[in-house]
Amino acid sequence: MVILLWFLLAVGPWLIGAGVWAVLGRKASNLVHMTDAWITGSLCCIGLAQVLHLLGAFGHLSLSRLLMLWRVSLAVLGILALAVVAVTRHRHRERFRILPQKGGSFLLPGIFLLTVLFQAVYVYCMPAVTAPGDITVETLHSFLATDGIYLVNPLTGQAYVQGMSLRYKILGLPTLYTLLAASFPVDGAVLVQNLMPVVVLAGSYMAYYRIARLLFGSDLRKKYLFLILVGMIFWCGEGAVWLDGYAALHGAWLGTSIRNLVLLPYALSLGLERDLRRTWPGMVLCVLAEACVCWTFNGLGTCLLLLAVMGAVYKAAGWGPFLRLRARILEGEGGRP
Amino acid sequence: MRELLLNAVYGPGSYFQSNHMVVLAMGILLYFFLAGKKLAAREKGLSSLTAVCLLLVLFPVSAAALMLYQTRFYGYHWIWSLVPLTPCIAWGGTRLLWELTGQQRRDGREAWRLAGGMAALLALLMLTGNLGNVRSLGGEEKNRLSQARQAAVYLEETPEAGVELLWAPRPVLEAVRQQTGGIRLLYGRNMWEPAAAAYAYDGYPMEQQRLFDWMEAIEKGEAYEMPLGLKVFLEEVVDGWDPERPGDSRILGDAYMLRLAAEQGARLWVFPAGATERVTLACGRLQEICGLRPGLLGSTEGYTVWICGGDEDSE
Repeated sequence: MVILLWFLLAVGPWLIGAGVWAVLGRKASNLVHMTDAWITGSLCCIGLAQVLHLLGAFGHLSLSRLLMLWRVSLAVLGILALAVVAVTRHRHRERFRILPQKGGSFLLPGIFLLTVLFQAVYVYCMPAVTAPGDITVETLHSFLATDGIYLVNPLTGQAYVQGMSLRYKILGLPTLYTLLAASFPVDGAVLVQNLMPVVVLAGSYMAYYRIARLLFGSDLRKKYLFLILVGMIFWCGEGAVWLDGYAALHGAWLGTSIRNLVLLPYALSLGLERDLRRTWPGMVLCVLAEACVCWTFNGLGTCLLLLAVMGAVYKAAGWGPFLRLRARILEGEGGRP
Repeated sequence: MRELLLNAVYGPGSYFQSNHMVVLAMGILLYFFLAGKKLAAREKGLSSLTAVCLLLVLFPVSAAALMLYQTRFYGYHWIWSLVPLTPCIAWGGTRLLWELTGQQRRDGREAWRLAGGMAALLALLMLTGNLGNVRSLGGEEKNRLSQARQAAVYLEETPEAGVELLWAPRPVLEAVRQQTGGIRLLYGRNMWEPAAAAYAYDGYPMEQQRLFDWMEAIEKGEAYEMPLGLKVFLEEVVDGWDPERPGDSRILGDAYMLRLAAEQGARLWVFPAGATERVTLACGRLQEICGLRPGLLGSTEGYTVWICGGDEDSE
């Protein structure tokens, strides 16, 4: 069953994402990359879990009902996506790209794969370091035990007296984990602290691969070198909770880690593309997914902020006075930009 | 607002201590800016974005505004999520390695030069990255954790655990809720972990806080100085309790705390194995005073499990 879970975690999001991109880009003849499809599909799954979470938390639906809805929705989405992908592939076989293009030596891809493999084994096998304030596993167990969403305080198992804070109650990530744990005979703690971090790590490398693709085009060696350096930064920068390395290796199941490792790099890559007509669905999904996994109570989340700053930077880059100032700095008084 | 600004002023110093890699990102930006290297449009976009975001998080007023935006529950360090440090370092590192190791020169040695460059960069990342700072568990702590897990497994198989509230030392309570949702606790991790207390508005009555203090004292043994709040509490509620006179006085205090736990609804108790004699004496006194009949249910490595039966009317 664990193998089936791995298989579904790999194929399910890809299929849904490929279906979404095939529908959204039906007029354009853009390529649908595996990385785009998998990340988009994962974000759709997060969105689905969020809807079910809200139904459970505020509509008081039991977990067993939510589980049924989750399975049915995923099955329907999967079948629809399969049909769309099959039709699109029949018409435009070249639109779906599963693996990177061929060419280049095996050395750098080999080192990269070895780095990722070591990290995946490390994350999967090492006992989790308890992140301060994290109650995901307790929450999952309390959902399963009470067959409902936040019927009891996850830390004690007793009913709430004063209630819980809304900013936490609206986050659907624990429900996503619970639905996965209830669908497969996997221990909740193992699923959250060992299995999901591998999935998040994979998602992170896909997002970074996307950035590499945009920065280095078809130069495979540079792309893999970029990814190896990302892996090295993860290994070396794991000294504090807010760092990417810690998020990747010690707490990838947390909402903030998903944001920092997958959503922000993905949003960055979409922003770098500078093709709003093609990338807006991905941007919207990033912003919404962040709201499902992280507290963004005062603002609208870091993804939106990043995209807004990017937009401002691009606007400013073409602004006349800025261009003149830059020309003066770089080329001296009276220089031409 | 003043607090936010102070955090924004003093935050960068503390952040740099946790992540010296910022220096690498700054160095990369400075190199490409000063050397006047030709950058592609997307490379320009990434470097400009990193530079702007760095300014935003370093300048106190904008940093304070960002902290306000991301809610007060995140500290200063979290606003650095906005800065694409990892992509910037990886991109700059790739470009620099490519140029400095002469990858465009195909003389058959480019792979060795690249390997050398990567080794140097790895060393630089290790020096700046605060590697291995995550506290790993020591031998004693691992042992305690393993014992707590064993106790949790034992409790999971105990029928009484599904009915009664559990009162136990910290590690056991943590392990129980991480292992199962079927056992209810007298108090949870939010008693001693402020970050975990942010999830709910519920607090704990003073009696439960004293029970927590007492359990901590029992777990840490004779060398641990009893918290002042617990001392004052026991002096007030137990006639003749005197911390200077350990013998009978202490048994009286212990018996009172056990009775208090039963009154709070917790009748399933776990104590450290080292405190068995002390607990046995207190249980004997408890039976004499109020008719409650606590008894040893079983034991696991490092812990003993007790169930408190008896006439509830006599409390």
